Amino acid sequence: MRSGGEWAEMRTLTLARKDLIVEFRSKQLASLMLLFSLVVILAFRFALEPMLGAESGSLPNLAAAVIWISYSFTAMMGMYASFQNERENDALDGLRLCPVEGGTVFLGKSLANLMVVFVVDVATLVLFIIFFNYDLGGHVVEMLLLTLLGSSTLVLIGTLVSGIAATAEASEIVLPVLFIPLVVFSVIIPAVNATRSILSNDVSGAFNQVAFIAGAAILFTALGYLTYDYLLEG
Amino acid sequence: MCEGGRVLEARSVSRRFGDREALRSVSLRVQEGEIVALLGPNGSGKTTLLRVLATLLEPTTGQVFLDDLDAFEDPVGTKAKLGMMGHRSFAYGHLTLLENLVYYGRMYSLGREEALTRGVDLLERVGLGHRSNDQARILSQGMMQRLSLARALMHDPSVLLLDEPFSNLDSTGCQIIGEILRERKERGNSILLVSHNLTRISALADRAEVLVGGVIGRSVPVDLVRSRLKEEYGCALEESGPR
Repeated sequence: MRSGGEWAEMRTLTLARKDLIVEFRSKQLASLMLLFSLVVILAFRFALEPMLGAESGSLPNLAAAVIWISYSFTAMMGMYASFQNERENDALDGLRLCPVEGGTVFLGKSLANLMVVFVVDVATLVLFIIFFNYDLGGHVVEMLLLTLLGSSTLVLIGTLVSGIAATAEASEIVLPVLFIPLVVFSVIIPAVNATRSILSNDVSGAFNQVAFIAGAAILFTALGYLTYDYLLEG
Repeated sequence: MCEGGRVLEARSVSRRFGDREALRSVSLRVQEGEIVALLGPNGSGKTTLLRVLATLLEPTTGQVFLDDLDAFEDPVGTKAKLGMMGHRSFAYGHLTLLENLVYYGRMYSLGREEALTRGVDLLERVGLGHRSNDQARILSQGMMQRLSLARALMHDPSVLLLDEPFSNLDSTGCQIIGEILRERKERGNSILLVSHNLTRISALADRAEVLVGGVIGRSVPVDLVRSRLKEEYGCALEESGPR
């Protein structure tokens, strides 16, 4: 006999698996995010062209900002589609009819979103390295770990906000208006500082920033888990 | 708490949308093994009432009980006993028919094997066994309707709420759904259905409740539905759908 916690875990995985199968078959979200990330990286590449040649010492600063702004905008785009498959055939009502706590839905959606966003973010990092001809200088592992933490926090904030937007009238406006200010303070500023420290060979200098992002992840997990029931009621 | 034998009960349920009062102090009971038809003209509040009973919409005032559960005090416990067919199928277009049913079964705490077995059986029962590995997005409206009933039955609910279950169906589909509803009634399920198909309602329902302007009138025996509706409320329901 399964316990309540085991059922919740099973439902979380069932929901995440469903979202990933739908995404894998429709190929809507990941391909659009990849294309968007390519456009953003190229836009930065051409916009920053004069600075890249003039002063190579500023490159770690620019790199950190370009990477995290690209991650954030790409994640936001992914969040638009997070509830798209629930709108089809009113499946959100089907989900709301299930005897499932809102917190379980939040965790399941976050897990599926993270898998897609992390893959796209790694691809974004590769695109950045190619188009900016940038050498991570032996900090690949640290950058991947920071990307995983930052992506997780972006996704947790995005899933919470997209839950608010899912039942809102003007969801297209609600999402960026809430998402961008939250990620600027919770992810972009600390992650840019952490990235700059890592790329400047000062890995220990990134610890405080990493701890801040991890704290934000815990905070938004708790917020999403506790409020999703109310958010889905609309 | 519901009194003896009553399975689903709405007590003085009202629901407002801004200034508009969609439901006004509606009380309704559906007993064990009973099929009740909910009739009324378009915009009378039938779908709103069904959504309130399904816990999808909280009433402005009033209560809903399912057996001994207050639906809005214990929504999770209530939902486990409810099955609903809405206007749309709630199906994911990119999942196959069987995957849709297994997914919903798992969300209702069925084990993987049990969900799979039940999904296969239900698809056979609604006449979609041969399409079980097709993605739902390529189904016709009528087939979606059958899939929707199969989904609503996955967790073997004791109460069924059905919004226009015969719409978009051909005569075979209507017959299949009619047979399933009769079987469920014999097993003691309580069924509340909204339909404009008087022929089907006459053949299935034990009684009808008429909702006009958000207010429930008195119960009408199904064989008198047609004449009473015209006499008392001035509204005639369509004889729509296959007979």
